[in-house]
Amino acid sequence: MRGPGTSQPSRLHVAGSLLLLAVFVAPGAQASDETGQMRAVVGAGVSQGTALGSAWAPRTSYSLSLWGLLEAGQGLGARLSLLPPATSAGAWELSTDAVARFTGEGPLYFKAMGGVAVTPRPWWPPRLRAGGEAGVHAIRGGIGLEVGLSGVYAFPPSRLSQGEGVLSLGVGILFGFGAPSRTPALAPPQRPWAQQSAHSPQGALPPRSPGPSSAAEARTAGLSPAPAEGGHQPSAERDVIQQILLIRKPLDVALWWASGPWEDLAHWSHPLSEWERKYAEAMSAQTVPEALRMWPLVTPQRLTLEQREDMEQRLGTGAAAAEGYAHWENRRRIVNHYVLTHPATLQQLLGVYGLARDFNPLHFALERGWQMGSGQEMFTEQKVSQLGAAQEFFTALAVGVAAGKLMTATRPVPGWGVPEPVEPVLPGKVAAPPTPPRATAPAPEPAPAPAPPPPVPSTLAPSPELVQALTGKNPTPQVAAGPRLRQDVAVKPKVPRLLDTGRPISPSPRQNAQLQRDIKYLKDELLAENIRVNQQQLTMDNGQRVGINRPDLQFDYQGQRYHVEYDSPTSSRGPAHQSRLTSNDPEAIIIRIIIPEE
Amino acid sequence: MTQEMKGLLLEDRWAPVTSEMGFLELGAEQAAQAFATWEREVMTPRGITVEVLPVSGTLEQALSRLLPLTSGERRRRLFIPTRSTWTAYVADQWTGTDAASPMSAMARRLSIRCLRVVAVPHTLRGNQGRYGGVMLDVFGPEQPGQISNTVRVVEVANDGGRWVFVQSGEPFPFEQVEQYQARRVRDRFTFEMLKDYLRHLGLAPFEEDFYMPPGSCAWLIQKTGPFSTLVREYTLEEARAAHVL
Repeated sequence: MRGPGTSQPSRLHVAGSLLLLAVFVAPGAQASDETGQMRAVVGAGVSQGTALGSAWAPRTSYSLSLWGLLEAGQGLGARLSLLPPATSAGAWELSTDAVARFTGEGPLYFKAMGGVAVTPRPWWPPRLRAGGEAGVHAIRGGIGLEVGLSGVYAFPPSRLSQGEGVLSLGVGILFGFGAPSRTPALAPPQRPWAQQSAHSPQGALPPRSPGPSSAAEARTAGLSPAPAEGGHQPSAERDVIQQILLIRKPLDVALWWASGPWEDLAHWSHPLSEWERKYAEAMSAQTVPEALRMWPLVTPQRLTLEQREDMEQRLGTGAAAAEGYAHWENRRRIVNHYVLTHPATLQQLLGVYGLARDFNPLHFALERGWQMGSGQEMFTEQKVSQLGAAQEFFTALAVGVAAGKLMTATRPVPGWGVPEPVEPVLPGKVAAPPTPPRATAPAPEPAPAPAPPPPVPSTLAPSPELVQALTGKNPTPQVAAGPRLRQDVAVKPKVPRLLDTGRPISPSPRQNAQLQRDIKYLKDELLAENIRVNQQQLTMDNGQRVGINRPDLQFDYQGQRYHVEYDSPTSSRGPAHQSRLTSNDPEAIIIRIIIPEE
Repeated sequence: MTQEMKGLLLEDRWAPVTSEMGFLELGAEQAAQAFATWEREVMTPRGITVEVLPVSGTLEQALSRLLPLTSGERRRRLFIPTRSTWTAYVADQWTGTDAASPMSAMARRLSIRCLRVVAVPHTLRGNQGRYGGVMLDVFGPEQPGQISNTVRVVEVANDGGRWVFVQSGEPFPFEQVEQYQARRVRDRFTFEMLKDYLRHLGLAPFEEDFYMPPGSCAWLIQKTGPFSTLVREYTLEEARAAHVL
């Protein structure tokens, strides 16, 4: 739609500026963060927009984009967009844009874009596009979500002033971020106790001096001296603290313990070294928060029954064996404590918790509501950004709504298989001559999709199942009424109006054609009444609504309510539908009709 | 909007009977006799007798001949002459006339145009009131190669909690097609638009003096015989209490 002529120069100026921005400024933005790593990101989006200066007529478009983005989300990309026709007589529009994405430390982003739009069928000359988009985004893990408002001006190359501006609101999802965003609102905050638990052993022990640890080796506190102490020279490799300092990563430490000392108990039963003992003393002290506190050292006298059985199997019996087993058990506790309280382990656990928590929409909403109100996570009590929580909540809400719209837009289109309309009959004439379709005719809502022609009516007979049922020989065995569904019980008994019976019940042209043939039979030959198609279940005479289920066909004939379900031979839904219909109205007769597939 | 329907027929006193009406582009007696002939074909084998009786008086006097209203099978149908070439159709169904099936069948059977006209204000509040709707269905003669004889449908209705807009067929030249793009579904086809469309078709069905022109009479089709045991009778007040108020 062409806008007012007076605004064209300024509009052109803006469009040109944005195009130049997209082409020249974006590389600079990318180069400004030379320390970041570019990563490939794929995006998908849906938006709804309306042309400026014309009547409100929103149209939905879909886009796919490929980006090279830095960690925080800035970079360059290419986007392919598809705009389905507004009416069945309309045309598809395909556009491709170069896009530069800018973002700072906060949740806001801006995009500048420029490209070309084409209409393949019927072919229209290409139009240039330029525009911008501003919005908010959230990046977590490898996924980013964005919600933005965009404005794009499209114009023929030779007639810059004769373009059209479109304003759109859209949502998008980005896949491929390799690391969490730097955005402060989303960065996992550190807790004091977590920092304390980041005990690389240096935190609890004096700096390590060069040389073997044998000099620092000591007896475990409270234990009697080991008989072989004087002659035993344990090496550094048999000190778990030494190993932890060498290996560091908690998972690797756990693997090392499982692959060696766990099995080779005899070589790890010597007295604890000074480092091992000090680690245990420091981490089991009362000053350590209880959640992070290590179990106290075990003594030979305090071994449990299970431990004694394990000891006897692996070391034998006697005081020496008990003492050695206690040393090994204490090392096991040190390793377990290090692994389980390491910040990386806690971060992983929190991540798993967060994922499980946010997977449930109700829990997600509750958690974000709590965070917005308190600035803390509900159970971990970690501090979070209230603004970030609000952003995540509304982003998820927008994505949910957009997904719903997308599902609605891509479901099987009603209108398939609907017989061609008969031309209007002019007053005074029996039948009107065919007239060409009006150019201004609006699309039916929703727009019917082209469908294969239904079978030739002359060859189509009423369904045998229907004919038999109405002569008292219903081939569909009736089922006993069961408990009604809660949603059916709760429905208001008030009856909505009867809608056009030409509406389809299925994407199958054959089912729709058979339905229409059966309706014709019911009306013309049987004087059946109150015929409804794909509307909520009613009792006889449209007396009351008894369910929110929608039988394919329902009608009254000779004081009896009938419900008809059309199914394909492979469908398994028929019995369930029949059971629900009977439960809602035990007086009604149910007819199931199987229509062969095309 | 359907909540604000001013000027319904007889101030809607005869709802639900007149909430939905049929119109046949044929004289009243001819339409009644044709319908009775068709009904006899179906009813006589069941031992049911079909009579056609003239009814004179005002519109309300004619409508009162439908009483008591009934459930189950229809016992009485009324064909009312108008000041135009159209004849109005109503029946004794206690939940309101179903004009769709008879008008579709008569259009095909007699090769004429028939209409289904619905104007119901949306007054539902809790469990009181009724779902609203504004509808115009046009049926025509049978067309070769077509199963349906529906010519044109324009409908806005609250289909059990959700407003829907339904249209099919080619629009008439007088239709306000741009209005079908209105953001609010219920604004896409209003009571005023319905009246305007009907005026173009030669009808003024919401005006009392449109019916029963001087010197004319309505025609009542009355059936007697062995009906289903499910049939029950209702006064107009009972029907209104259950389906209007």
